[in-house]
This record gives sequence, structure tokens and C-alpha cells, in this order.
Amino acid sequence: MIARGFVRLVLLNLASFALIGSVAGRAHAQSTIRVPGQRPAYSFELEPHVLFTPFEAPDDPSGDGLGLGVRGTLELAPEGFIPKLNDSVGIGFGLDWIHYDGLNGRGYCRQFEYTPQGVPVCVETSTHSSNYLFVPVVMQWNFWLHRQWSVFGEPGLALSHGSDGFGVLPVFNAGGRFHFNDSVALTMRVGYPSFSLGVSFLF
Amino acid sequence: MRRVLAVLGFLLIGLVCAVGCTSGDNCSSGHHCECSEGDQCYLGCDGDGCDQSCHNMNRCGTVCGDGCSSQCHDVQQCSQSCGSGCGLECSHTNSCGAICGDNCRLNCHDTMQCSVEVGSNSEVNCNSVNRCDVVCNGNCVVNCTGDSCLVKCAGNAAPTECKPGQFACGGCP
Repeated sequence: MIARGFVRLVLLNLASFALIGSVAGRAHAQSTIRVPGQRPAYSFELEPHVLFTPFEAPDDPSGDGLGLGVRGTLELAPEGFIPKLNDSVGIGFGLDWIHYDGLNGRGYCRQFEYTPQGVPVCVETSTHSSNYLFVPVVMQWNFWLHRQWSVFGEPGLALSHGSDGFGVLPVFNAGGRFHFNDSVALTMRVGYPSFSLGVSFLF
Repeated sequence: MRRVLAVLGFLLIGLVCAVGCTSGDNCSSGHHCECSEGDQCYLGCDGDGCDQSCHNMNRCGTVCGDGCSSQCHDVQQCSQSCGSGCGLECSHTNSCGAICGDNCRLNCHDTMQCSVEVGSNSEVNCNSVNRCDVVCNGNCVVNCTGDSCLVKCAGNAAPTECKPGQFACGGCP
């Protein structure tokens, strides 16, 4: 499962870089990436979103997942890491709920029989859906490409709670925003453990 | 207009990526289905003729109808159950437990314990196994390296030792 997830992750990252590249290319004509500070002024971003994941649940063989969540990001470094670029850095905290479908043919054992030596043999399987809560904590590195476009990368960790209790997993998302105005943007992420599509409110 | 197109393109890229990443293994009849990595997984087959594989897990098992093949390796506790005409292989485990019907071919090797129950006209091979217990519910042949095998025939009848390392229930081949 991990190998398949890794391949998916690589493909998703390639897709996300393609997305960023296409957005950057479109924005080149009115680029703001080399004008530090030319972007919406805000200190907190609130972003409710819907979630989708093609990845399996952390502890269960499962199918795809759908969910809801919210992300809050505090701006920590308005000037970012690179002085000559229009970048900024924040720290994001979230709460995401994802419902994973059961996966046909892969699941748990519903009934065991035992050999004369007491070795269990599963004779009937069952699949079932599962629910997980994630609490991601990420660093959000923003690049303000254009008056209406920004992109970001979000590495971090998430605490998860599911059928097997608590766990910790890595988080990596690449995303982009389309800014309707200085206060509202459409925001999309791709990556692991889930994709999101939401609306950002900048305060 | 350009703004609307940009937003639509933005959404379309996400949708295409999402749909493209949802293909999974097919555990239905006649297909290959696999579980690996993690704690536990039990594979079922929606019918007969599945090709099932379990590996590198703590607990893993396969359940299938007739005419299936199942491989299980590098699992602490492996379980295989199958109808008739199946081919099973289990290796590199702490324990292999298997129940299969008639005409079963089962290879158990390089593992701590094999405990299997097979139907008529079955063949069991145990190689490099610390303990191999076989219950034959009908005619069967058990090939065993070393003296680790304990074979029981239907009705608790004693097996025939055909030659060193080969036991049979219901007559030697």
C-alpha cells in the first residue's frame, strides 16, 4: 500500500507542479513575484473547504475519501524567506474530517475457523468504511505571482485519529489561490493526505 | 471572460487529477488482488478464480471460492482459505494456516509453522518448516523435508509413509 501511495504521491506532486507552472505562465504578463509586498495585506487566513483523497486511510485498507474541514493560517513572516521575491510564510492549523469508503475485496476478517493446532484461518471477509479526524500543522510558504494568483507549498505533520486510535503522518500539499478581491479567494490543494477545494477569507 | 475561464481551468485540473488517481486493485473474479504493508488485511474474492497476494504485513489472509491462487509471504500470521482446485503458497511467516477443498496444491516453505486442512486429491509440500501439521479429509499426498510433519487422515487414520519424507492418505501415488 505504501508503494502504491508513494507512486500516487509522486504523480500528484508532478500534477501540482504542472498546475503551478501553468498558473505562473499565465500570470507572467502582470507578474508581482518580484515586487515584495504587492499583495493583499492580511494577518490571518480562514479557509473552510471540502476534501477529497485518492489515498487509503492511514490504518485501514480503504477506498477513496471525502470530507470537510477548515484551515486557519497565521502569517508569521510577511517578507518571506527570499528578500527579492514576493513571498511570505505562515503557520497553518487545521481540522479535517474524512470519510473513507470500504474497498471491495480488501478489509477485515468477519469469521475465523481454527485448525486443530489452533492456527486461525479467515473464512469470511468484510469491508467497511471508516472515519478519520486529522489535525494538520503546516508551514505555508506563499508566492504571490500576480494580483489574482498566488501559490504555496505546505509541508508539515498531522495528528490522525481513526479506527486504530491516534497516529502521526506527514503532510505535503501544493496549492494555489485565485483571488476574487483582496479578501476572498478560491483555494485548491493537492498532495497528501488529501486534496482540498475551499474559499479563503483574508483578515 | 478570461477570469471565468481561468477559474474553470483551475477546477478542471483538480478534477482531472482527482479522477486519475482513483483506480485501484480489482478483487473480483479472475483478477489479481494484493495487500502489502501495514498491520492487517484480509482479501476476499467476489467469486472464483482470483489471484491473491498478501505480503509484508503483520496479519494477512486470503479467502476465495474455487480455482484460485494465493501467495502469502513475509507476514507474521498468514491465513488462506479456498474452495476446490486452488494453488496456495505460504512462506517466511511465523504461522501459516490454510483450509482448502479438493484438488488443492499447497506449498509451505521457509516458515515456522504450517497448519493446514485439505480435501480429497490434494498435495501438500512442506519444506524448511519447523512444524507442519496436515489434516487430509480424503486422499492426499504430503511431501515433507525433515521430520517436522504430522499428517492425520480422515477419521484419525494413520497415513502411509510411501517413501522417506512422503506420506499419503488413501494410498500412495
